[in-house]
Amino acid sequence: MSEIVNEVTDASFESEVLKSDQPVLVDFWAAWCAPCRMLTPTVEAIAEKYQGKAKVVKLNVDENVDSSSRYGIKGIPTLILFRGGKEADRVVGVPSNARDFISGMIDKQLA
Amino acid sequence: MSTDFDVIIVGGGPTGLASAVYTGRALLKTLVLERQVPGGQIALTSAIDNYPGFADGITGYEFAQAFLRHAQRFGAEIRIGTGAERITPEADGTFTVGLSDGSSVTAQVVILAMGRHPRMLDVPNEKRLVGYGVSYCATCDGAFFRDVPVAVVGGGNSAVEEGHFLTRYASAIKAIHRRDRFTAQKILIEQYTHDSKVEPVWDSVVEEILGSKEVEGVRVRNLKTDEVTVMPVGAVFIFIGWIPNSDLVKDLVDLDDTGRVFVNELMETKLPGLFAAGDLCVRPIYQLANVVADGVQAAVSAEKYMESRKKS
Repeated sequence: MSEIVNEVTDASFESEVLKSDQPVLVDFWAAWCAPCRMLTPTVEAIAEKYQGKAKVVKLNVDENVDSSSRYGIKGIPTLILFRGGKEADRVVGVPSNARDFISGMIDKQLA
Repeated sequence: MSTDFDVIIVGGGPTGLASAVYTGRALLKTLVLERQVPGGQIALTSAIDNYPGFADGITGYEFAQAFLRHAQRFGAEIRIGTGAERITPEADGTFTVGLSDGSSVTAQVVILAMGRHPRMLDVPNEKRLVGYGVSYCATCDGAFFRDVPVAVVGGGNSAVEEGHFLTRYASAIKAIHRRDRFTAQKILIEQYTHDSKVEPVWDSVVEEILGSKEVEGVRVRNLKTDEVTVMPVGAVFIFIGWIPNSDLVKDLVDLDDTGRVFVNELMETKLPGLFAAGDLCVRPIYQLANVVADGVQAAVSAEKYMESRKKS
């Protein structure tokens, strides 16, 4: 597991995501989800690119059922961008031009 | 004119990565552009049981990872998450490829291996409920529908294979197909229809997906009797065919009426230096083994083309 993308849980979701000063991108994933695992290098690259400006974390949907059902996750990978405790943007599945697309989502919140 | 790369391969699925193994071994400077995930469609397949030589089968994920490593081992640069937006043939025969990050790169030849994407049903609420019960990938989303009835639409290899995968999770499967029999490979049909969870719904089409926040059911019409039924399901998995990702090159090459790229047996398009291979093209069959072979052929043809240009 890369250190740049920390794992959050149901227990830490509020402090790590909802109460964060920076926008937080949450990658909802599971070990059995091949596209999630294949998206990981892209998510890590995003985390590195926005270090100090936005946070990037991941949440395992199998182990954290509360958070994933609260946000109605019915397909993964799902990426939700939170800002000020609220959902600001969401993408389900691997978007086309994934790296640039996700950058665009975050840039919009930072602008 | 000197270029950034010898070869740019657009698409990092089995076809593009097979090309990259061969161009890499030919010591050509190679860039692979993969806009989503390496491996493409095959990475989403639960198990590959028909690739000759893999006697015990292999998961799509493992296969894709091995393929990626193989291409990288021979020196190909694989850019993941960045796609080609534009391909411009230059007057001197080279190509400039504009990328989704705004930059551009140049090459002597380009191999198109963009593959294809799943066709949508094009019915009300489908788009809105993607990720909320509408899915085109059983291995991605199936586990969210444990002990829930689901609908699987389609009757070809993908529908039957992915439908069979879903029997691990779903409580029941309505297998909705517009014909009165499946057209998949026989072994796949046998596995599927022998499962007591699977109930074929023949001669029928989905007319509407129902649900406000998530899928709650489908409205189905029987084409022979015109009878309309509402089936309560928690998810709809759609496998009704494919659309080639040929938009990028529609002005550069010849396409058939379904958008597939015409190539000859050397994987040449009508534009010298522009090759195409795999699912994107008009092919007699679309199996992993033959699209891999396509990628190999495109790479060797590209290499020969570059040699002939150097001599002249």
